[in-house]
Amino acid sequence: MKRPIDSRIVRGSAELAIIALLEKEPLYGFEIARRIEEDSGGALRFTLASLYPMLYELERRGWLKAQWERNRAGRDRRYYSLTAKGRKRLAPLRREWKDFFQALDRVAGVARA
Amino acid sequence: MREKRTRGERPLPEDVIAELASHLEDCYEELRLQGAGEGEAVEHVLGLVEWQDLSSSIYGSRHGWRAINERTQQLWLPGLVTLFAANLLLMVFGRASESWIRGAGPAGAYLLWLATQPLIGAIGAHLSRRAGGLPRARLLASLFPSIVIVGLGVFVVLPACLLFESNTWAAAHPISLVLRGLAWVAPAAVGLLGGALPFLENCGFEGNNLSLRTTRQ
Repeated sequence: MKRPIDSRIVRGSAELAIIALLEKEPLYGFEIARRIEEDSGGALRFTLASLYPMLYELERRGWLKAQWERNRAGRDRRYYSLTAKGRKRLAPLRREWKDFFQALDRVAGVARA
Repeated sequence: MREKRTRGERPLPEDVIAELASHLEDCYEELRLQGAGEGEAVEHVLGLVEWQDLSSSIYGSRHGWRAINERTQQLWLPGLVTLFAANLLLMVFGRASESWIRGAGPAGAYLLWLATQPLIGAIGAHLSRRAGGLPRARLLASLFPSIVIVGLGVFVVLPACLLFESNTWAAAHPISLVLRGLAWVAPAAVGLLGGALPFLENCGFEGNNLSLRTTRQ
């Protein structure tokens, strides 16, 4: 079955990283950036200017919700968690990325490189 | 941060300022834990942000401008181009039928106009695809003139006939009126669709956007 990959997939790479991370637990901005950097071995890095516009965009779409809570250090932080709508988007996004890498692998042999 | 915020063209709301400040505070503390001096850490943290760009970017995200811009480029602009082109050609052929193709009459002018519809549909779908539009947006952009005409007929012309002109024939035969309207629009829609079809498939790199077709395994 032929199926088109969303052309916005390239720009949407950060979306998948964020919502996949928030599937496990609610986190605040700084933690999100740090966890993505750590989990990717430093390959993926969010700057302040790339992270927050993305978080607000996802919040506006209704994929994330945010609320102020105290962190372990006793400071107020804005924690983001995945909504039901965001959770529903996670599986299709994962599938699109899988398709994308399979296509790239067929073209460039990246998995064998 | 508040001082920076007030300088920007698009001031950031208080909750955003508080959130960004807490992020910078965490960055600062991390740097200090890594052994950076106070001045060095402050300088580094303040250098992380290009305030003007950040405030514009956050403003756009919170108000959905990014999505609106995308929709404008992929749907509304190509749609308006097809609508303008279709109406311009209709006017040109209408005028022409009164002079150099007089023998053809209005029916001939209409047929000539119909012959141009695949080209117009193709232009709309191409412009949408070039802007990264998905097949649905390309289809809507190419069919835009027909959609507008149907919308006008159903929501403006028909109610106006019934309510303001007290058109007794339209009141007695509303379905017939709609069907006649559709009979006039449908051939053009088929022509537009015919032109759009080659552009509805995803086929490789287009402009600045990546578009791939994959085989499901």
